[in-house]
Amino acid sequence: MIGEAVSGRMRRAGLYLWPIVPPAMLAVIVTLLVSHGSTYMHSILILGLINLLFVVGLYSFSGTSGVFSFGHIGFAAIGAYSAGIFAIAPGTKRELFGSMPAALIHLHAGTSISTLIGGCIAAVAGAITSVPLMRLGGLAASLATFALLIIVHVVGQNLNQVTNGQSGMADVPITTTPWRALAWCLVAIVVVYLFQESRWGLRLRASREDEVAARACGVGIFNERRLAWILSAFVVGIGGALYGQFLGTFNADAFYLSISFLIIAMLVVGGRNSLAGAVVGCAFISVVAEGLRRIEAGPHIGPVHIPSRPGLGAVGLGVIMVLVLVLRPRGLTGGREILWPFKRAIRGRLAPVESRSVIAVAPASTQDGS
Amino acid sequence: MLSIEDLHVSYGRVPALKGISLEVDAGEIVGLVGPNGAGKTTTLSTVFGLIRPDSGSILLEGRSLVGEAPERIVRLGVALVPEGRHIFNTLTVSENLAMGATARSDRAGVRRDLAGLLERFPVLERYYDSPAGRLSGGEQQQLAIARALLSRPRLLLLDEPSLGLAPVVIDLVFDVLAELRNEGVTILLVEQNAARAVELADRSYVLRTGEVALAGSRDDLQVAEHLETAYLGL
Amino acid sequence: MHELIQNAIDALSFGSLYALFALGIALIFGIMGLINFAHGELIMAGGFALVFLGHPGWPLLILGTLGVTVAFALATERIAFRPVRGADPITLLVTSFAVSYLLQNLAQVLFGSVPKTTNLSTSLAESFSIGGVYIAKLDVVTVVATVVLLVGLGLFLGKTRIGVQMRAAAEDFRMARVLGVNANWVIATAFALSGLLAGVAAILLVAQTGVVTSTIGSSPVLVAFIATVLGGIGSLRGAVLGGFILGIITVALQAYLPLELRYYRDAFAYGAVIVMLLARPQGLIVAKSIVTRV
Repeated sequence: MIGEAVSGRMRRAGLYLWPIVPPAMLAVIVTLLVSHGSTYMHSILILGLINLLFVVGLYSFSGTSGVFSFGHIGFAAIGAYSAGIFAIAPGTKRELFGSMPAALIHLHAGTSISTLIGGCIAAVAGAITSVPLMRLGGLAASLATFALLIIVHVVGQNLNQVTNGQSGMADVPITTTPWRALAWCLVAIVVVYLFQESRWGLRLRASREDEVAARACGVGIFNERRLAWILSAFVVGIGGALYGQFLGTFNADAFYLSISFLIIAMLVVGGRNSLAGAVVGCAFISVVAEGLRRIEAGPHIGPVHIPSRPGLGAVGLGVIMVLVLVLRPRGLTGGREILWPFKRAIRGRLAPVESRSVIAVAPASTQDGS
Repeated sequence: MLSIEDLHVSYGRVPALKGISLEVDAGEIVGLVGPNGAGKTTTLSTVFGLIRPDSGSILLEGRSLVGEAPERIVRLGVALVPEGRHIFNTLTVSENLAMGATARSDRAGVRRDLAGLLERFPVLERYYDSPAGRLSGGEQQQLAIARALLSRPRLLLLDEPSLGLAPVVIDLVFDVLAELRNEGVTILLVEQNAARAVELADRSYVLRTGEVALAGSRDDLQVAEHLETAYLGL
Repeated sequence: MHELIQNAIDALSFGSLYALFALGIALIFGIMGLINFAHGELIMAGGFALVFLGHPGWPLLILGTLGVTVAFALATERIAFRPVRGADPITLLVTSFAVSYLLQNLAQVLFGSVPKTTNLSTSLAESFSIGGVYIAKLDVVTVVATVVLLVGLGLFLGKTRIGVQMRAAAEDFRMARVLGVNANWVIATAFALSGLLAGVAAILLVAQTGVVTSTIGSSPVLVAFIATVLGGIGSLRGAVLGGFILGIITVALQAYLPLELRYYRDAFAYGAVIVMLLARPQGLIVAKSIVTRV
């Protein structure tokens, strides 16, 4: 009996402490890889961690609310440009960017501050865009986020005074190290985890499962979604800022369709309904993508040289994503990490609902008086 | 005609039917009553192939229906009038009826049957070219039944036809069902309105939490306490 | 005045093309709840078909291209979309996104990224004038083709047996199956029709620009989405209306935006749509069957 009490308490303690384990493991793995790896390995690691920020950011909105966003990389672009403007020394800016107004040229800050500013400005953009977007229903909102990506891209390519147009930013101090990236990742994971377990996060996830039922319970998802959107914009913005300070030179094309697809693939393959899914997906796809990249470059297998074909890696990624979606639509983690047995029991009692009823719901607007 | 034996159905890990058995003989009306959540709709949905059972058998005149797609089952002579009527609001009454004949290929026969149905349900003739969404609840129920009948079913499954209808309309609908039985159509009727269902049906089963709690003929069940006991599980 | 008429004709022409794009998306969505990102790649396939068919004369060229797009559409349905049928909307959406990405890059691997040229633009680029207004032959062809397709589609859905089945399935798929409608046939028909629309769109699009690349489908698909959302998801008429309105907005912006802002034309267009959606989040035409009340 004493044994039972002890193990019961240990189990409960384990339940509380468990969330710490994955981030700790991440820190350990990164440390190992950094100390034993080459410079090339460091670059891969940094990219992986930046992608992790993107995926975790995307998850914090799409995974919790169930509204899929195709445009989040737009926030990364905003973060990257903002941080870049602050990070580059005024003298350099004056030399390189002819059309930049003086106000922007004088801005200067250290690495971490610049990164933080990048995230904050992205968050502001999130706040502004949340006004129109949250009024739209799930599917319409998803398509609108796609439009958002296009808009950011168009502006980025043409707003010469701020972004230097198609030539883009150059000479951004390359300050992103694996440690900085890891630090920001850990912060993001903790923050997003706290959010999803918070009152607002729980309400959001309830609305994700069944929008009609949630509204019937009085969950006005408008505000919760807005919060998630802004948070996700911040996290993705940070990622963008780090990315900009890793590339050193970039323009809006670096934040467009292929990276958007990569991030979405990571979230979907890992399991879009859980934070663990975001992390697992990122790790898995990073490894696979690296493998595909090596094949694309034309490896030598013994005496045979496979010719390099650009784009083959992307095809491979696409195939993998389709396979996962067909065979295991909930992703590698199966959306696990969420215990919602109450909901499942309820759902079991009802007749099988056509999946379309999820979108066949009037959007969360105040028009219909509810 | 229809023989269900030891049927087990569950939604994920939640069991909905825990081994029910029932028989429907040709030319009779069998009622399936019980409180909410008892598994009545599940039973009909499973018979019609919309849900796969975990185990058990469903035989239609000796032929197994388990694993068949609904499109196939319709062509075997079974028609389902689901709960909530489910008529196509944006289609006209005539188009709704035409949908009922989807499984049939004999145009002349369909035309004849259609004429007969319009006679039996004159309101449908009146609104023949109007969008079905304009009909009242009772009229829509008539349309749903007519549509199901157009497939010339040997076995008609009805799920809560009286739901949301005024008593006088329920009378009409149940009269039609009695007429159909006299014309040789076999009917399995699921109803919340136990009293009326038991009165109409030749035999009834009472379902409670996935199991058959009581079964018997009209006379047996109309002894009131039996029904109450079965319903409340006392 | 002439300029106004010119712009009006442009708007009509663009609107027609956009309506075709949008309809291809709306058809599939109505039946399956799937927003087909890969529709753009159907157009791409049509484009490459045009390139490789060469110039065997118009009838053969058109038939060949349409044959390719329809076959492609049916293939994507069979291989990629049938296995995920009935899945939740996000899975469907992301699957079509993945298929689109895959096909686009596959085309790049096979055909390279250098744009391919066709001979289409020569005869259609001619214009004739009526009272001082220059009308390109292509504009006329675009509008006429669109009208013919719209009327044909309307007749098909309204009068034919399988058309009624499609409309029923679009409103209530489960009930249609209960009545005996063959799910596979109905969905295949919808995809075939969308392939047809994509093929025509490809011909008109390539006739305009003269070149084909692997990314030629991206822009039409985005236009199609926006038009569908604007017009009202779930409504075929809404999709057409949305297409025309988007066409009008685009041409209006192109004509009347000050020069420096021209580059942002697309940004403004989509911004305008988002503003419109604020006023009517469900789009302009609400499909009656779609709204569920709490």
